[in-house]
Amino acid sequence: MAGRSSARRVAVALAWRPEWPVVMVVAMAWVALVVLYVSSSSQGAHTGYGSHGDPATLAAFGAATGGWTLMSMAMMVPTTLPAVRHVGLNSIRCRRRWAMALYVASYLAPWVTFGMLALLLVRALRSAGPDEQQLLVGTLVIAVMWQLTKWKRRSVVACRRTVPLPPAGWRADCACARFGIRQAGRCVVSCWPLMLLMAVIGHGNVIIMAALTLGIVVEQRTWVRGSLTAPLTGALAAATVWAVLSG
Amino acid sequence: MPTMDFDQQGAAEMYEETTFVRRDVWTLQADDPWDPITEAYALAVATMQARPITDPTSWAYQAAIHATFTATPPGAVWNDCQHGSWYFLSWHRMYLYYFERIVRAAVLSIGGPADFALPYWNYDQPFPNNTLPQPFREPTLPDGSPNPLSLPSPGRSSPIANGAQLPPAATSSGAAMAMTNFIGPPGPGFGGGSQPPVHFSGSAGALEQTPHNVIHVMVGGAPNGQCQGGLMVDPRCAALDPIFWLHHSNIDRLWNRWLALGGGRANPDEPAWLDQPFTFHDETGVVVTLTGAEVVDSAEQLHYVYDDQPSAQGLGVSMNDASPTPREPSGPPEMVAATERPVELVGGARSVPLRVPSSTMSLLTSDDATTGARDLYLNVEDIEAEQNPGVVYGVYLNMSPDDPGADRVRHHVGNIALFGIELMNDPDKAHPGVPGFRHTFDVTRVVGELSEAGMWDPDALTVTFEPITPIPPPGQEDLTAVVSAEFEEGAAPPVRIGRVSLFVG
Repeated sequence: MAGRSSARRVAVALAWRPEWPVVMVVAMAWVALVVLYVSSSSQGAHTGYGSHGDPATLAAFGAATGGWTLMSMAMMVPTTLPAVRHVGLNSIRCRRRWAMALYVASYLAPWVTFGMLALLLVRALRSAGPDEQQLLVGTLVIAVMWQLTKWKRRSVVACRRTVPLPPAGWRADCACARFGIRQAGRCVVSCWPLMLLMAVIGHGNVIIMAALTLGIVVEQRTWVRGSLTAPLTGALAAATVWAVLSG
Repeated sequence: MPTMDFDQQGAAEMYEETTFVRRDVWTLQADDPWDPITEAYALAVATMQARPITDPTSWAYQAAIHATFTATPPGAVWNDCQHGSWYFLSWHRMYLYYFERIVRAAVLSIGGPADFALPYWNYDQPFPNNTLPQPFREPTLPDGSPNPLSLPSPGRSSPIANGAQLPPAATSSGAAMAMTNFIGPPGPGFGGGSQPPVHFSGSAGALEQTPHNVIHVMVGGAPNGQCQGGLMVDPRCAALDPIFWLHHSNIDRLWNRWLALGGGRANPDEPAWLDQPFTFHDETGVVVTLTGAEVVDSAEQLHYVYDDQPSAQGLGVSMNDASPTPREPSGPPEMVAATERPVELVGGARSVPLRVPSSTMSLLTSDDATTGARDLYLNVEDIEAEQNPGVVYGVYLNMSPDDPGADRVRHHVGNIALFGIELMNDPDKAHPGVPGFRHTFDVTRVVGELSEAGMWDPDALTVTFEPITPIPPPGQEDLTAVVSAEFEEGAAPPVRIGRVSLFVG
């Protein structure tokens, strides 16, 4: 009897959180990244399998794309879980999971595109001359400055907006895809310097990935009075100082 | 910090020993528009209006605490009102409490009644109580001086300023009183959604939606610039209108009456609500702080009561509503129907069909949906507008807007009033809400009644939006033309509604 009651409570809790399958996928992405990081570290490559993500050859480009997609799933999808939940709760039951999957795929597409462009940009910068230290400090300074702009704050707020979803059919599918792309666009505006930072550091570094993900998620969930972006700005400023001093 | 000539020791003793009684303004003016309490309020308003805005006890400063177009100066407590969340009721109770103390000090300083308490305007009564109280329409005070309670045009909606009646659809708190939970979801709840303090957000409780927001918009009318049009309609100007305080006194009274209904009705017991502090100024200008836990009992903690004893009778709430059978906790409501395209409202009536996918039709045709065994919620989602249109839209289920004889009461499920939408749109506020309102209406009772009357057809679901208009008072039918001109199709700035959806709980 007690077991049935507990099972019902779990079922009700999961019903209120229809995004839980996406949470599972994100968790699996993190596990995969940790495994890859540990295995590459044991081989002596501390920046991991995706170090600098240099897409010089087709194979390397494919690996970089895969690595970046995995990283986007782990880092950026957690920031959009409220939107995934919105899609789930506002879709009819029989198309709920399809709608959420469509949303997440549409959300990831712009991030992967951005990642490829970021990797190409970093490669071009490296070939242009600045050393790793200069590249890191420069990217951190850009990230801190971006945190202070009104565009940053506006895009953080815009990430919380929703769009109307028709009940069924192709209109509903289009609306889910449009919502995903629009949300990703807002989040790219909000977080592009942070992901550029990952392109510089190398997207195999799970410790920095975890720290940045935590910072972004806290920023997205913060409703405190005053600046929404202050905590992450402070952390990035501290990282900049550390990078300069350690150079 | 400027202070008043007010004996703090005497004030402390007065507040310990006295229980002040807030009275219905229409009862006060039963024989003469200028009851001593109302006249004292007018004189105190004039006194406060004469003070500079740097004085926390001034009229302008007190209004700015709610909201203002001006950025908050260092050290000032401005732009702090709480709307669209569970702090709406507690914040406004604190705000009124200290405002009343400031007014009372001004009243005492000019020799007014020692038992002064802020009156309330109970508009949910038949004519004439549903019209703007007479002292707020008189051009002069009894001594012939200008009346600060009256606003020059267009400070208020023209029909209302001229004595038009507020219709029951606008004034009724029945839907809010029927709620048994303070916090939503799945319904809106009586008091609003749980979230950290936000100036304006999208989780307004049922009482905030109607009558609070509705009265703000209907009394204010069309906004214009920075407090150049209707004052009540814009949060940044609303508290400059002296009727604002009587309106909120009534909302505060309704909170007490809701609790007195019992049936599981209770304030939140979460520390986040109870311990949340908000800052104001007292009658000496000193900064003071109160928490939710310190204002839950107005009589014991704040020493004021209302002149009507709360009871379930006369509230339009049946005892069935007041004593609900607790239901087992279940999953979230399921969407069963929705519109396929956004809809735009520009002042006239507009109907939209809801599509019911075949997979959810059985949920709507089952007896559970029409007998109240399962709750039904109508959502009006992603409501956006560049500015408040100054129009309240009634929301009706399965009603033909072309049928002038339609029983609107039977089909009416709630109202859309966009009080504060300008602030939700502003991306540069210090603590912003997200643009886009969502209004949720519990339509279980309406669907049950429509079903009983043979008017519930899940194959032909429509939702109609129609402006709610003031009613000309008896003998002044010439006001009809004034009212009609304000609510013509195309006369109002557009309101966009992203989706209308029906959920089964």
